[in-house]
Amino acid sequence: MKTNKIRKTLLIGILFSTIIISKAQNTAEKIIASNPGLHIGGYGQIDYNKQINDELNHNATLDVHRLVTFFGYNFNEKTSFISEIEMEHVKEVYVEQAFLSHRIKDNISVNAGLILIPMGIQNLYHEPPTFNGVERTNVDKYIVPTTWREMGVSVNGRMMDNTLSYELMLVNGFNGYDGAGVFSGSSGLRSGRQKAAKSYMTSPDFASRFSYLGIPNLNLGLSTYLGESESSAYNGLDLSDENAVMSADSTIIGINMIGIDGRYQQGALQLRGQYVVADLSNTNQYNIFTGKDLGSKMMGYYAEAGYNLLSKKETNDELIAFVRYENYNTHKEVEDNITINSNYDRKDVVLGLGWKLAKGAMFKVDYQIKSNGNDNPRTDYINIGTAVWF
Amino acid sequence: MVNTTIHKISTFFSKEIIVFLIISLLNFSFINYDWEKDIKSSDKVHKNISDIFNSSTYTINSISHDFYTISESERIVGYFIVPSAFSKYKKFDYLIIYNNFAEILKVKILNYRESHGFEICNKRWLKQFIGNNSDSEFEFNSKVDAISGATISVNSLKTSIFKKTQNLKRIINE
Repeated sequence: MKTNKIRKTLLIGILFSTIIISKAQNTAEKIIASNPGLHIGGYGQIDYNKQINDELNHNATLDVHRLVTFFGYNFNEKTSFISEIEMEHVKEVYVEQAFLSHRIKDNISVNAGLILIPMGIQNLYHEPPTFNGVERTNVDKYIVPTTWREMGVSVNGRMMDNTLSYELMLVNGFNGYDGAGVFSGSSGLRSGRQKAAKSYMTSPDFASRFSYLGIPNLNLGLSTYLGESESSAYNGLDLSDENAVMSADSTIIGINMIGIDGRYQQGALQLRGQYVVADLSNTNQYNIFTGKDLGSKMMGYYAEAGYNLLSKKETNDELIAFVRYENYNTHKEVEDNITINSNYDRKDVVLGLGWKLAKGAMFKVDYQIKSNGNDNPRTDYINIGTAVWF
Repeated sequence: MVNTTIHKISTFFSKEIIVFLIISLLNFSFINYDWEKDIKSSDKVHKNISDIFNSSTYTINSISHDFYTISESERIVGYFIVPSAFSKYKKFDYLIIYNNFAEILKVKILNYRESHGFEICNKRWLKQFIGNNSDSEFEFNSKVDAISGATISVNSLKTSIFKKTQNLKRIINE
């Protein structure tokens, strides 16, 4: 009975994604034919996750994790509007991107609106068929924290004969305090993402990314983020009142994040790696004031290797076998007032297969071994999912 | 107290960085190219043709399927075409130059409008198309490496170049 239920839901999930692909192509073609500036697309991630391999029984979860619709409009050669509307877990609606883009010179554009912070690979390239594994990496979930997007202005372009691309932006920062503390030791800055839902800003933050393509088959990235978290305690604050300012100061942390990443692709082989470290300042004052346990340094990295098993066959299908090791620690260092929680030092090993059925449609299966701390028992998961992008 | 200093330094420093970088980047930026000019008279196309054939006395003539012949002293020495293809949501224009046997001598991206997928503009990567003569689309594609993060543009360019080359071969054989 159980297996039937699972089969049924999986079947519905696969059918649903197939319908979206075919219907969207027809609708998009019709709209584009009548209005050449308009582009419609989307992506979807449908998951099945089940914890296994211990004495207890665990229910599986089945989730339409993300369904994103892209609407873009090219007003003319230089100006476009780009937006992504996201439904997460079927009920939560968000806007993932919404910005006006204007090309001011051949190789330089300016974007303004809700934009993605260019930290790491998956925050920028997060369409499900572009990565291995059913879920995005936990390094990106907890350390980056994806999907990280805020309101701001960016300048982006290419130089050095198209071997170097750059993006520089000013954005609003995380909500660190809105009457209570928001950050935490276990999930770091993740809960502070404002996502443009009536975001507020005390002072702007600066983010940048440089991608280098000079070495054949290799794409290297360097990202930085510098700023302070926002705080509602600064709203209506009398800056001449020393006590009030000192109190408000305790609700803010400084953030200095650096990430390096690389992607190598040659023939059937694909390698990927990323390292992100975040230095958080003033966490001592913050934790004392809010009662939270935020670390003063968070670190995460992963290394992944994948191989297309069908590379020698005369087919456009791909069957990618991959293995990935991740280590992410939101308590890499802490300031005096709290102690390091070793459970926050987490390691995942993921191995799996991705079957690319067509350009933009993949079926994925993976086995995930999660462990943390020193002597804690590991937890194993089996994950199955469909990944589409059109 | 520490926080106000961090606040001051980061606001000052980041604004300074932005202004400095914008000024230096604008200095390095390319000359603005007016794409409304006629293909036949465009500077980029002619510079590439004269470099490849080592000549400034060639003539061009339009033939079918948007191709042009390149002739020197009444003799056809090559062909070229300026097709467009789709990157993620915008079109880009590029140039293919062939010798008189429809073998690819050069591929160059002329006008890439999108911010994603620009990796295909890389000269070294584009060299993989030179002499890529296969009539089997699978073999043609396998000789050009994929680029992580630019899959759509890569596939779009590969398909477009293959189709155009097949067209030219058909035209020549008639």
